[in-house]
Amino acid sequence: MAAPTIAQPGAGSRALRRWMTGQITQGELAAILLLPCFAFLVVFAIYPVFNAIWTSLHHLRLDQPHLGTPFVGLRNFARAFGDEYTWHSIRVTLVYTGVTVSAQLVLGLGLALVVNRLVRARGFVRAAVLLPWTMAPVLAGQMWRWLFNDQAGVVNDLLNRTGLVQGQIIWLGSPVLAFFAVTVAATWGAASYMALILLAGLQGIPDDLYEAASLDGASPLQAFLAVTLPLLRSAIMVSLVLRTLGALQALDLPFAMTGGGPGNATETFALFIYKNTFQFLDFGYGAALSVILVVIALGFAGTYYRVLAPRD
Amino acid sequence: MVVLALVWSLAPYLWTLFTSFKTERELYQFPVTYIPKNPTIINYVHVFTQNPFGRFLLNSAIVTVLSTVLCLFIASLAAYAFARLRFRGREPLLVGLLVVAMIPLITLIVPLYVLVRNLGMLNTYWGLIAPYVTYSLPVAIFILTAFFREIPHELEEAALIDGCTRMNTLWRIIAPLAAPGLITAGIIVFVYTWNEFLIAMTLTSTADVRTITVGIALYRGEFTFPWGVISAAVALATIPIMTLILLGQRLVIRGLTAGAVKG
Repeated sequence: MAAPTIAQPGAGSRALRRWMTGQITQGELAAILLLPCFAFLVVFAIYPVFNAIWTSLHHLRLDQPHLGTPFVGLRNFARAFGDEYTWHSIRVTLVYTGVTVSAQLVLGLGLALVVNRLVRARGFVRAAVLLPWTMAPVLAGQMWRWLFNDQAGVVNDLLNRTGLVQGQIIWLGSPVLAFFAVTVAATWGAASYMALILLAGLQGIPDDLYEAASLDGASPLQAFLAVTLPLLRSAIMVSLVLRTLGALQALDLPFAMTGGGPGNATETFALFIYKNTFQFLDFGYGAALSVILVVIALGFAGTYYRVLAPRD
Repeated sequence: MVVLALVWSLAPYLWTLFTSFKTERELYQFPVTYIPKNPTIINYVHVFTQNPFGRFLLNSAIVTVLSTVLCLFIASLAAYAFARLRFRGREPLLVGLLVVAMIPLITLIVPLYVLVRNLGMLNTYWGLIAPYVTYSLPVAIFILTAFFREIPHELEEAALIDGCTRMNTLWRIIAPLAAPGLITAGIIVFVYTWNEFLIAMTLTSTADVRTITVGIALYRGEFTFPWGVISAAVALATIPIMTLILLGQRLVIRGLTAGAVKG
């Protein structure tokens, strides 16, 4: 990804002079306008990507400086694929992504339909629905950790008061329950984001389509299936792509809520990478793992794109 | 249904707010009390006196405001080029931006750590601002490009014919008309930066520059987990964002859509 047009030295200053006097080609102006943006991207995004790939092919442990950084080829990758914890955290991430993204889609759609039907207090409800998205996942994790607290948490209190459960469930102490609790917290935050994209999609559907459907004797459910869902298709796809990419790299919410535990029941792949890198200081191995995550993320994005592209 | 939607969205906030006014003893009562019986502001006092949360809030404010302003400036230059100019490499560059936006942050964090350390910017505001500006650029550019495209060409052409330079058209004609777009992109960048955790945690190790998300996430009490203080800090950390969203929700929603359709 090179900066556009101007390449030879000297051309820049000449272009600058002509720009001051207003005589400048569109290509030259574009190059000048894009320069700061691409300077930042090259230094802080593109260079780091290549650096991560380079690091993944080397042995680099901060706690073993005497070893230097010898080239080890694909040994970090071989280690990753032979490590049962890698596979465990990838499984956790895929299940977490599958569960949270589908729950977010269902809830987000529900919220969008509720807001869309409102006539009064619509602005207020819409703002309220937007709020969970704006809370930092790491703070939401802290908040939900307290809500799921076994002694004084509101979740246990409500379950007891409604008589569904007697006694205090230790939510964050068992692998299955902790995983469930984390997915609830994640869904709370992101369903709100999903709802707003879907709401925008809903507002683009003309009313007369519903009138025509009801004239044809369609029930609300039939109208939903025949009119709403097909026309929401692209909004659904967009929100699925964005949320899937978000869920695949989830780190801060599990970090704050369970720290990956109990055991490593809620240790997502990103959290696993983080621990290998910054707790075990194995930068080479962490880099190899993160290259694997990029491949997974781009794989998902590519698959969605292929599903979405041909029919639009 | 509306009530359910409101409860789902707001109840966790209210619970946190109520918790922040409870005494240490009332916190651990079961069955739980919802409205605090003896409301106290001791937790808020502790936030500012016993913990450096006040400092963390200030750090967050400085880093977020500077990042947002710088990002908007750089992104509007780029967005103008993408929206208005025809040049070679336009499409590949847009696709490149999209790919950059998809790279998981955890992949960039190690090289970023080494880079920022080598630049001598660990534990500085600029060490946080530079990456924040960078990672907000794609979404800001997508939103602003969408807004710039909606501004009629004729206005600009008239100004150009009257002898206005391109740069002057950008400042005198485009910028004022694109103000809603700038506010939208600004809010979204602000929310992202204020809430960011991984970069802030990795690139800071002292309270002088640490932001509020890291401060709260790493906070541990001496004996018990001080939920009252944590809740008060969470409430305070959330207020700036809430205010912003309540003031600008219409624009945020438009921007989310514009950004989402592009991205």
